Amino acid sequence: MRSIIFLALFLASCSKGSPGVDCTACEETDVIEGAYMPEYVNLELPAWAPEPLEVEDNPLTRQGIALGRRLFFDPLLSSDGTVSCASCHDPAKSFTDGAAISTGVEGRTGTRSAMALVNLAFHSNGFFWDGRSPDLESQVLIPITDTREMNTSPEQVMEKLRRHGDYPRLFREAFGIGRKSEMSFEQLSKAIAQFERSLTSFNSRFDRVVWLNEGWFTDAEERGRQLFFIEPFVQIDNHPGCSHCHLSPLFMDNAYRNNGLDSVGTLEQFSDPGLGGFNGRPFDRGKFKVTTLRNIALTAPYMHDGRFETLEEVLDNYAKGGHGVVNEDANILPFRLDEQQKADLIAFLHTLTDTSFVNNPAFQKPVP
Amino acid sequence: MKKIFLFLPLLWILAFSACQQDKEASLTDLTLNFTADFAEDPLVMYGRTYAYPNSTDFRLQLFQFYISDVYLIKSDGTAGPKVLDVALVSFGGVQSESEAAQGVSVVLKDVPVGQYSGIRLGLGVDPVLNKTQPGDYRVDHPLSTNYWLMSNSYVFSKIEGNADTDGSGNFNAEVTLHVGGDNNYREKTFPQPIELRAGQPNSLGFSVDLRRMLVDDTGKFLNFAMMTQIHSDQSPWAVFISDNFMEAISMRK
Ligand code: HEC
Ligand code: HEC
Repeated sequence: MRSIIFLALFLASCSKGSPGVDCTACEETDVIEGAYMPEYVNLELPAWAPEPLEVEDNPLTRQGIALGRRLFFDPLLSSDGTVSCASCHDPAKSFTDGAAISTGVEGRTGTRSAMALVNLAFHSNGFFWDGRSPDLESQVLIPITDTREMNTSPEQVMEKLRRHGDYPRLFREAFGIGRKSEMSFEQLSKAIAQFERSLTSFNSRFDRVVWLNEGWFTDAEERGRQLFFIEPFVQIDNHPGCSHCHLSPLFMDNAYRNNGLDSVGTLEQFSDPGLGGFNGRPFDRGKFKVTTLRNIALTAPYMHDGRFETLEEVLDNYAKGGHGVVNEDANILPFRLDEQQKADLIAFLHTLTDTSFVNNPAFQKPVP
Repeated sequence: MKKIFLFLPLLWILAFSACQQDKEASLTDLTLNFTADFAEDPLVMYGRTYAYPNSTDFRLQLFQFYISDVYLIKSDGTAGPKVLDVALVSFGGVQSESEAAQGVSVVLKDVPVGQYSGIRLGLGVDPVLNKTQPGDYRVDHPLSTNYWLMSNSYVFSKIEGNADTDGSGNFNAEVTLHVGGDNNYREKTFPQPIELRAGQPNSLGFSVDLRRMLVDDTGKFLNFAMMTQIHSDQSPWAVFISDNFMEAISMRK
């Protein structure tokens, strides 16, 4: 993966004008005019948020985030100019696409559901349902080159960006380069990663009620909160145990687990092997990334293959307590909730919706 | 922001101590290596079944615990340098016997060299750190997770797995034993001459017998036919496990 990025860099920096660029007057047109005055920024986080990971070689700047945002919403990053990152990661749906399985260029479909992009700066244990991407910078290459998603190559993308009216200036503002030939896919990846790290959500009703003492939960929400978090002194049969894996404040735990979706005879039989398919460890087959429940009311359908349309279906499935597969997490236990309790738990899940996140002007498609 | 301010004085102290002494000669690395067994057998997750009292078979998915407030003991028996605030020792990734033999290592940097008469481990999260919350830490810090919002405590240890309590071959008792709360914090001193030298690897080995955490010397044991979950600091069985931990952990020769 890294070597591909470096190769792209190498290509970009050695060629006199990049391949395919009309280079009749390269010496003059290669130079990018404009200022380079990076403004370093810190994520604005409330006291109850953990500290995000430090990324030494890609500090956040206002200009880097702005470039990343522009790229994120730009279909120029796909082979036929129809698909952008935002096609599958729509801010209004907490950066998901509302489909069970995502669709890329020419209507091609993949096998998994688009993931929400929320609080990614706090993801310390890999990306994707199967964890196969170690960091946001290297993740960018995957959708761009996936033939079912954006179906293009770093070279093709960079060629289009070098010829573009705005991007050379934006790359200069973000990374201080002086020539179009110095624009690289590595810089593109860093800029998109910066934008993604800026997507933080800690302003749901849950946050305001619990940590700021602003307002109250309704009775239903409060009962739902108890059900979500409760650790009973004695063993009871209506203990859903959600917070063992979706724990506050991130409502995920940076782990990969089998949450009991599939009934298989042997671990070989998972149609999607998840983490085990990536790392080759037999007992990790069928484990998937524990996703955040922040903004969960906006991201249906649910699970890695979008198999559940509604939160009711999700609860009904968890209530069955899995199928006894060997690596099914021991925290997946059958439970019984009556209709009222189910409604209460779902009411609680809705308190995790952060409308200021989905409506944040800084996260919308920029007007060029 | 507050975190940065907290950090600055620390940096000063570090910078100072580094200038004042000849770092090469006086500081060294120390590795604490932990291995786990179930009675006589190496502990591996999923792939192995262990015999348990009451004709029960037990299979593991997770065994982890925090250690905190670790001190070396000086020759006169008083506490010497503090060498570790906190670490999470997790056997959750141990899926083979070779991984079990390798164990889980915590590497301590810049430990003062010298002769010591022992080492003291806090088993769990010490009461000072246990007043903090995940929001106080960076997400790759061990205390950024495993927090019980409702009990205001970290979960000090987790033992999770499946038990076959009726000999049916079905491991349908899902065991999740979570212990936390200041009342369950323990400290254990291991008296043993320790010599730490510069320029060479220094390592101390510890082993934990998981069975001994669940079965005490009198034969009293946590019966999975009766109880499979402990999710409360006040449960007498949480205290049982904490007391047993003191006996289950030992220093390897
Ligand atoms: C065709 C739809 C599609 C497009 C276009 C797309 N994604 Fe995704 N995205 C997905 C799917 C599906 C997954 C889950 C894939 C998997 O696990 O294998 C995903 C996962 C991710 C994740 C992992 C999140 C996590 O929590 O682990 C990130 C980050 C991400 N996408 C960013 C991007 C960026 C940046 C772009 C544009 C360069 C992009 N995506 C373009 C569909 C898409
Ligand atoms: C053992 C850990 C565990 C427990 C307990 C657990 N979950 Fe999950 N949850 C997961 C994992 C892992 C996934 C992703 C699984 C997949 O897609 O294959 C997930 C996914 C979800 C999703 C879908 C997320 C998405 O982005 O599509 C919802 C909703 C959800 N869980 C809600 C709950 C609720 C409500 C509870 C309590 C009843 C609960 N979970 C208990 C581990 C857990």
